[in-house]
Amino acid sequence: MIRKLLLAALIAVPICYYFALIVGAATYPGYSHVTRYASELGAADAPYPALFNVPIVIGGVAAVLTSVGVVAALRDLSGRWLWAILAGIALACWGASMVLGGMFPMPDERHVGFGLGLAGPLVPLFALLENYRMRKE
Amino acid sequence: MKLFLGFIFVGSLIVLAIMFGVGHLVTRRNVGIWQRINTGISIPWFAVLGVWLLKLNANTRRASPSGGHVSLTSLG
Repeated sequence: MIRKLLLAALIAVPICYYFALIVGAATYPGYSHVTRYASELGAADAPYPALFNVPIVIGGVAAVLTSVGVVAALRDLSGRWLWAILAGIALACWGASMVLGGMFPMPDERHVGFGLGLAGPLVPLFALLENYRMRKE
Repeated sequence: MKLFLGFIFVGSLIVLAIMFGVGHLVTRRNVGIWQRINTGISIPWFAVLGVWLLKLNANTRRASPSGGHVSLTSLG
């Protein structure tokens, strides 16, 4: 049951992000998705920065929490820990960068999350490597 | 799923490289578009992974007569 909840949190991550993006942009007169960064929706000069920052923090927390469930579920696929743990760590780092991004809006230098977000693309790589060793049921 | 994960990984790397200036494709006038492409590749797939792992988790538990758990009654 706990694992189910943790994995469901993974589904909540994109929902939180796109909620922040869509609602933030809808309440920001003159905002352009073509020429402006998404993070500008949470900056101090945005009309309602909390509409962007709060869901981003929630999505980041969900990513950090779900990393535990992802490790356990991927580990069950192959029976091995290495790639599952690395996938979980990469996901937690990416989630932490989301939390920092929401807590410290632009132009705060902490907004970029110390580069932790760059771990994001490693999640599918590690999940793929774990998948290759999947147990034959 | 393997193909999907591979596509997401390679796609994320390519768009990330573009965002970091490779090819000089990103300008102030289109940075938003490139950022949306980047997040469009690197974020929604989390939901797909979540659904896939939830299904696998459910199948594994259904396949086990004890629902994935070993209890004293199931041993008896």
